[in-house]
Amino acid sequence: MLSKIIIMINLLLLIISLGWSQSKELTGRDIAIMVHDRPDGNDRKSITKMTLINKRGKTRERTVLSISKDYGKDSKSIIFFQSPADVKGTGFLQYEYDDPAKEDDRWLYLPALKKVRRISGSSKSDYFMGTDFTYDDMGGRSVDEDDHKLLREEIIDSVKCWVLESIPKEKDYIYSKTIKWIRQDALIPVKVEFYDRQTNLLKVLKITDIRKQDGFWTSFKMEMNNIQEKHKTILEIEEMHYDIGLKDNLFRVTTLERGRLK
Amino acid sequence: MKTLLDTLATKTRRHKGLNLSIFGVLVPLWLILPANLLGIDFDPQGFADTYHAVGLNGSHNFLSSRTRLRFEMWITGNDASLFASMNAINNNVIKSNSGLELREAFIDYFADNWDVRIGRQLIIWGKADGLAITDIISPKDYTEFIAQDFDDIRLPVDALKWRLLFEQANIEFLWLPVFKPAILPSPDLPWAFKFEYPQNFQVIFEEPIEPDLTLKNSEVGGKLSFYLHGIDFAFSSFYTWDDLPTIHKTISTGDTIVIHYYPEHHRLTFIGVEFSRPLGDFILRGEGAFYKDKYFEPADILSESLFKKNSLDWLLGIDWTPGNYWMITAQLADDFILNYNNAIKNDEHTMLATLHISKKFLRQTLELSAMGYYGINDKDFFVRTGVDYALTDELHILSGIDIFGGNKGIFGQFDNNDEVWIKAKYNF
Repeated sequence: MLSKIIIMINLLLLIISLGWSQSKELTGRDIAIMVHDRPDGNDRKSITKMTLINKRGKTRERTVLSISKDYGKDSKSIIFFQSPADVKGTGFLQYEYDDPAKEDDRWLYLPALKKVRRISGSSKSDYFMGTDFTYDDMGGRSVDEDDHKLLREEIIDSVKCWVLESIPKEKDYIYSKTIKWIRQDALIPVKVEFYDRQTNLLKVLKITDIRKQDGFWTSFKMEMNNIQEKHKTILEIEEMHYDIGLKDNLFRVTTLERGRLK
Repeated sequence: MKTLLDTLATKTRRHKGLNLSIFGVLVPLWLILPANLLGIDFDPQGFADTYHAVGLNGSHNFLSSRTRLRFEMWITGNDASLFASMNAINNNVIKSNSGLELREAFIDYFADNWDVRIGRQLIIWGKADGLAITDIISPKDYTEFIAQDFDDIRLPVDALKWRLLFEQANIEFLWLPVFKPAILPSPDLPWAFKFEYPQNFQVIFEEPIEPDLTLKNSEVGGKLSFYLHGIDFAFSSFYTWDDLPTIHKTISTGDTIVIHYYPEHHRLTFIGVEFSRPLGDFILRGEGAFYKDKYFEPADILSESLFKKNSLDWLLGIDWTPGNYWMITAQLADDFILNYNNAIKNDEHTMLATLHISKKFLRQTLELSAMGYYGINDKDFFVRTGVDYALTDELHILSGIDIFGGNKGIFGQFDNNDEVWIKAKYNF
């Protein structure tokens, strides 16, 4: 009940801020903040299948189980690999802080070594487990790491979208810019274009299955197409649950050491 | 004639056969757990691997040749799990290692603020990679020295591990009722340690003296670990037995001089500290241990005196992940004998440096790596270079070259054991 009230308040605040912002003309940063702060419950659990397809059509699959929980504007999350067999049980624990001056805490568990080790917050622009998604692409990027500009509005599949250009402030970042088509009703992009350092189109992300789960807008199917390498990754959410009351004691190094959530 | 290494190797050979006695304890314990725990999830997994290494010097003999099937299973309930891991091994070089082996078998029980693991298990302490400062709970298998994966070098122990869990800390208590020594290779094997003894006298090697199986001879330890914002650190202590025996000797003079060697395991205690701290792209980590009453051999091989000293072992390491799938790790370690006596065989400081570099290519399906150890005192070294290619997600093909160098020291003694190796591993 409490969570429903909080969601209602959040939505109300969102509508008020939207109305207020639009009356003052919505900026790119306003939209980026709305997307970043889109309501997604207090905690969540999902199983995601990733299919990697190379230019010869050969496929590889990965399945990950992930849980996360919000603590104010900070959050804690754990990912466990369920497949393939060579990485099964590999776990990743992260405490993300809203304060940009506060570095995230991250730990990695490798079942072959039976050991947890702290890892640095670097390499966020490396690709995640051979997929076409970098760690940043998967949501690890703060709003103010980019300059945002609202280019225009467009209708895509009968839905109104904002077209938002984001240019990284970091000079040698892997992308020179990204352009997102963001559904105004769901605050989720339906398409994202990623441009490399030479400003050539590198990747295109298409989100083809957006619907509500437990009252929250959710992307169920994403396809990231690396135009230059002719490689793509399809990410499908097989299970998604919000506000399931995850215990705080799950988000600990000891859970990682067990190699499983139980 | 039986040599000292023969006697040590005889005593410390792998536990052959399935050794099902541990199941005799674990299965009934599992069955008496409350029925509501048994929302059972059966999860079998494992791998098959085959590893072959040929010497580059001399007669190009196989220095290692083994094939293994590892079967692991988790049976998981709501608050408890049973885990077992078994090996079926065919070893063409170390014949005694062939056979079936129960590697790990334990029960986990989880409550909200504590958990317990009972049974045969690997226990790993410390922050070091490939070196043991406080990581001495699980003894080591030196039958192929360190020319095998470090996770294969550790031996599981029969233990009870109980932890109290807090938000940013935990307290771990260990009880090891059964002593397990390190495994040393017998002298006929390629990786036998060099042992110096006078050749001109009659020598007699006795069997190693191991502690009796009594409650008083248990090993106990504890560790207090903190996981805070920007730093992990821990304090630990362990009242144990030295996994490697001390070589006592007596020399009798009469018509002929006879040297008697008496290997014996002694009590050992350490107090340790460890930390790990991220600094931008780097992780700075370290550990140190104060060892009480460690035995050291005399420099003079005809001296009967052993030296009982305290020592301070420490290690500092740095991991650097600059991005683009590079990983670089460097470590420096020191064994420092306190209140040093010049008659001791070891130097006052025995220092060792390591460097590990790896990079992944081809969407992380190809990894090139090199791991180097350098003994600063003896100027000896060991470098393992390798390539790991994932033919599929399940099947990896690996190959590499191991080079040893130096005239003496822990790596220099294997100067003739340079080798090229190939390995295939299939995970299921």
